[in-house]
Order: sequence, then structure tokens, then C-alpha cells
Amino acid sequence: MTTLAEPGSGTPAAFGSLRLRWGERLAGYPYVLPAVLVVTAVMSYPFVYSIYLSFRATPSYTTRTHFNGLANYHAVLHDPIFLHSLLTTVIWTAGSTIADLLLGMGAALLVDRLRWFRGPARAALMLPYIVGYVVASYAWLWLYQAEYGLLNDLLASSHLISRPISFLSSLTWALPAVMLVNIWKTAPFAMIMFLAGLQAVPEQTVLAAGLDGASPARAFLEVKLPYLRRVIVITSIVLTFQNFNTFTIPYIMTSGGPLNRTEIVSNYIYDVAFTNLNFGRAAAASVVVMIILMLFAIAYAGSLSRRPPGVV
Amino acid sequence: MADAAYSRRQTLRTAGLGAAGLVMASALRRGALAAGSQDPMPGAAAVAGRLEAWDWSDAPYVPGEEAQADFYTKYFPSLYKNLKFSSTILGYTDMLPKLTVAWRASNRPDVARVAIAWSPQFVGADQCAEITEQELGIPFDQFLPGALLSVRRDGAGTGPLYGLPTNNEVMFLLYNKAIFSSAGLDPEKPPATWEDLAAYSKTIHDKTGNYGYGLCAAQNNGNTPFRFMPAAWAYGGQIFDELSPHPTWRTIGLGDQGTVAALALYNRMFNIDKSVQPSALSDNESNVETLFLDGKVAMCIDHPSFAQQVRQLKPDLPVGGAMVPSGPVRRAVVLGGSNIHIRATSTNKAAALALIRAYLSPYWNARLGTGAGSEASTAAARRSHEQGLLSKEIPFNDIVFKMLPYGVNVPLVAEGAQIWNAIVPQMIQEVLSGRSTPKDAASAAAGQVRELMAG
Repeated sequence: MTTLAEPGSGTPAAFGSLRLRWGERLAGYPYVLPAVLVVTAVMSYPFVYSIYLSFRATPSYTTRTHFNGLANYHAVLHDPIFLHSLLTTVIWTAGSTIADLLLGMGAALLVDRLRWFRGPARAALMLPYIVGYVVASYAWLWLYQAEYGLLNDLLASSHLISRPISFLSSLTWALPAVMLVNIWKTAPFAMIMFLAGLQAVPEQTVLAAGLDGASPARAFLEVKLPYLRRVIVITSIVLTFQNFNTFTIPYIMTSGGPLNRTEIVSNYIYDVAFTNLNFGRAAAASVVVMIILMLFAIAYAGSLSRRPPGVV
Repeated sequence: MADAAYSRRQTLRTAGLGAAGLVMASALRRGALAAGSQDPMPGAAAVAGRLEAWDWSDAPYVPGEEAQADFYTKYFPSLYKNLKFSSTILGYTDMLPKLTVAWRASNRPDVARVAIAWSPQFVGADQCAEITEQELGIPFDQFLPGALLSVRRDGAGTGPLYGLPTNNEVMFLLYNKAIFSSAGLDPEKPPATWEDLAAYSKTIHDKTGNYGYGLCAAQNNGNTPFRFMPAAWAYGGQIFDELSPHPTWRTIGLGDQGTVAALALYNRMFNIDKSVQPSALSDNESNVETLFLDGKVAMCIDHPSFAQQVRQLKPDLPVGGAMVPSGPVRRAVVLGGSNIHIRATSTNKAAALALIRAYLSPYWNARLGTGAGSEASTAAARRSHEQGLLSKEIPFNDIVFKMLPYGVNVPLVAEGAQIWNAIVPQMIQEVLSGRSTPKDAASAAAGQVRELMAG
């Protein structure tokens, strides 16, 4: 049995108890060590090897590689397709994340106010998140299909169009169309996070705001939103990483086309590695992307460490 | 006692006859599985150790998958009892990236069958073992000379072989006779030239509202150049110098007049006549096939396997078959198919050769080649009884055989996949999206190929 000493008592009993606590703490490490070692090995090998490969020339006609300094980085940073894919990824990530947050918050507020059928409503809204990426991509391919697609059929029957629109072939529509699928897939995650956050807001605080004459909008902005701040930050960070790293939806729906309009960096890296067989350049592109994401992660860590005033 | 002795003799005779019957029945069953083939490796007991093979399947064609299953899980293992054999059948799109990584790591498999277009990267990277006529025991003049280019280093006309063709195929033109009739076209007179095809396409679209021709122009997709390059070649265009009897793969021809003319033809159909489906920029082969099966598209260029699918899925569709149209310079089609390779670092070449020998035996070469929606690669298999039976079941197989001599190779250089899957489709998309003229797009693509080849 552990005897807890009173804080600052400085008695031998207190030191003994402190030693015991250190012992307890250390006792945990051997248990997690195997998992830590495995995860470190699994993660660090590709990480280190990618960095190593990014400084090597890897010609497609041989398996031999040789050191080529910063040539891969120079080639990547001067490749208009990479720069374009980076810009597309920024638009993709920002657009998707903002839409996810707004739609997720809207859906969460809606579900939170429901008195009946909250469970079924939550389950229904979560469905897109549960559906696999490949399944969702193919389902939306059919929805967008020019000849048989539901979307074109709706537009035509509403007399909004006279000719079918080929959304995924259009230089204008392809990116928004593919982004919409991504938003449809990821917004439910934001909803469930915000819903959990909303349910943690003390009811009496909201009631008190109401008694003080605050409108529902004001009560949301002044009372609920401050409580949700940390949830919003965490959700937006997770979604930013998730959206930045998307691969499957554009790969299946458009293969990056037309004319690279939907080519995001993940697809670019895949194409450079597995179509062009230029593993060195693909590794350099991966490192550039990793640096961007690391900068973002540092900002994320900073924002999390700042505790909002008045909120536990 | 006598009765008992008689009875024992009778019993023994009956038992002996029964056992002989069982052995014969078993032999007949084995014979049925191996019908038309002979044990390709006398002294099978000497083939031992481990062997792993990877193949790919053009799912969902059931007879092809059955043939692969029979060969890899029943026939070949039954020949070499001392061999620990394993096989994996991958999807077409999975095969290349997985094999690229596996062989770069000098890891499994020992044997792999890959599409012709992929061979140059493995051969060029010294990842494939040389195969000689003597060790294989099959004369190399059994194979189409053009197909052998793809298993030589740098696509050369002569020199050692680092793999062997397993099946060869060419595409052909399929058309919907009912739509032709509705458009006032003679259903027995398919377009003979690419100009005819564009004109027919316009007539069909103007008169019926259907799309005349199914255009594949998706980005990063091999389906796109498989349909475009026959048109470019017909007008005399080339990526390198592949139309030459002895291509060097050093001269870059992509910006030439032939390619420009073919791009202009595509532009006319897509942007001026609007006689092809508007989703062409994102459509691959499967998308066009769906439209063709549904009677929305009147003509398409496709694999022999698609004709089989049409017959299975839409037996009432009045489909005609014709050779791929010719142009002012020549008629041409992509020489497709697959090659089988042995990993250079494989430690069991004897077993790998045994597998290839079995695969290329007439019965299995015919059955597996046809099963892949293609044709057998060896002359012996193409003349075989099995091929004769299969050809009767395959629609338009006579057209495929007629088209084979017009086959032209894809770029047989290590950078071939990038040129074929990325640069050529990008060139087409530049034109169809209206961002470049045919001349500028062809010239830019030629520049990209030049830069790529310069390293």
C-alpha cells in the first residue's frame, strides 16, 4: 500500500513515497519498450531511407544509385508540375478543411438540438466517413458520369443544362468536383468531434446565457464557441494533415487529370516513383512535403500549448 | 478347395483389372488436364528447390482466370513434385508497381509475366536473366520477330533475349451495326481510313445523337496512347523511330507531321464536330466500353477480350468487327501482349525455365494466351488443335490474326512507361482542352521526350 505524504512535508516517509512513485513510473517503461522499438524501427527506416534516397540519382535503367547532392531537390523545385501540384494541394487542403469545419459544425449543432432520433441522425451523417475511399470514389464517378449520372440527370430534368456536363473532364469543374467527394467523406469526422465538444459544454452556462437574454447565435458565439476552441483546433489540424495527404480519391477519379488540374502532391510523388521510376526525385518531393507538414505540426503544437482563458 | 482357389484367382484378377482401370482413369483425368501438351521437362525429379511466380489477370474474364488457376495450381505443380512452387495472380494495375519494388530489392518472385510495355524497364535495369534457345529447348523463330524486340536490351533487333513473349495481341475496331443503319451508313462497310472514321463519327452524331467514336484521352493512362498511336503511325508519326524495320530508339519523332495530323484529327472529332463523348478527357477503356455496350457509342477500338465480353453481356448487340483504319502512310496498331521473365538473381533458373517451357507448350500457350484476351505467342500454339477450337469461340479472331503483322511496338526504352502513360496523354489533353495547337503540343511533347532521354 502506498502512503502519500503531504505536499512539502519533507519527512523521510515523504521521500520514500517519492522513490516509490519514481519506481512505479519506471516500471511502466519495460512494458511499452517493445512497442516503442517496433514503431520506431518501422517508422524510422523509411523516414531515414527516404532522406538518403533524396540525395541519390536513381536512373530507371539500373538498380545502382549514386550521390547527386541537391540535384533531386533542384529538379523537384523547378518542376512546374510539382509546383502546380503543390498549389493544387494547398487549395485542396484549405478548401476541404474549411468546408469540413463549417459543415461539421452545422451538422453537429443540428444533431445537438435534436430531441428525438439523435442516434439515427448521427449514424446517418457518419455514413460517408465509414464508406471506404475506393467505394466512395467509384460511387461518385457514377454520380458525375455525363451520360448516366444522377447529377446530370437532375440538372437536365430541372432544365438547367441542355448538354450533359462532363465534370471530371472539365478544366474548371474537375477540381471542385473531386474536392466535393473529399469533403463529403471527411466532414462527418468534424461533426462527430464537434458534437462531442458541444455535449461537454455545461448546460447551466448555456441556460444562464439564455436567462440573461442572449440570442441562440450569441449564446453559440459567446458561450459554446470558447469551449469548443480546443476541439476546433485539434479537428482542423487532424483534417489538414488528412486532406494534405489524400491520395485515393483523385487517383481513382481522375488520375490527376485533366491536364494535372487534380494532381495533388501525393499523386505527383506516386507518379514520379512508379510511372517515371525516379525514386530519388520522388523521395526529394516527399522530403519537401514532410518539411511543409512539419512546419505546420510545430504551429499546431504551439497553438495547443496556449490554454484559452477561462476554459478548462 | 478348387472353388476357393478359383475364387481367389478370380478375385485377384478382378482386383487387378480394377486397379488397372483406376490407374487408366487417373491417367485419363491427368491427360484431360494436360490435353494437347506433353511433359515439357523430362527428368522432372531433378527440378527441385523453391520457385515463386507472379502473373496478372485481366479480370473479370472467367475462362482466362480458370486457365491460370489450372496451370498454376494443378498442371505445373503436378509435373514437378519435388519443387516447392507458389504463385500469385495480381491485378493489372497492381503488378507493375509491386514488381518494380520487389525486383529493385532483388527479392521475389523468380518468374514474372509482365505487359510488353513494362519489359524494357526490367530488361534495361539488368533485372532479367538471359534465356537461350538451347537451355529453353524452344526455337526462337516460333515467336513474332517484333515481339522479341521487347525482350532484348534497348529494343534491339538482334542480341540476347532476357525474356520471352507469352501472348501477343492487337486491337481492332468494333462497331454497332444498328447505329450505322440508323445513321444511313452501310453496316457492312466499316471505315477503312481514319478520315472515314472521323466522317462516319460526325454522320452518326448528327443523324442519331449517339457518339460516333469512343475516344479515350484520360491522363496518366496507357489506354490513351494505345488508341492514339495507331492514328499517329497511320499518318507517318512516330515517338522514336519505331516504324523503321530496325528501330534505334535514339531518334525522336514525336513532333513530326504525322503526329500533328493525328492530333488535328482528334481535335476535329472532339472540339469541332463534337462527335465523340464529352467526357473523353477523363475516359479510359472501361468508360468507353460501358458506353458502347449501352449503344451510346457507335465505334471503339478495343482488345479481343472486349468482343468476348460484349457477346457475354449483350449477346443481342449487332456488333461488327474491322481492322483498325489505315492512313495515308500505312495501317498500324500497337503490338500488345506480355512477356515472361526470370529474375536475374533467381537461384533456381532450372525450375524457372521449366515453368516457362510448360507455359509455352502449345496447349497451355494457346489456352493461357486466349484466356488473357490475346493470342498464343508461339507459331506451334497458334497452329494447335486447341487454338483451332478456341478460335471458333472467339468473335473476330480472324481479324486479330490479320492485324498482327501491322503491330508496332510501344517505346522499348526504360523511360517508355513515362512517355507512354504521361507524355503522350498530356500532349493529347493539351490539344483537346484547347490550350495548345496540335503543332505546339507535339513539339512540346517531343521536347519532354528529348529532355527525359538526355537524363
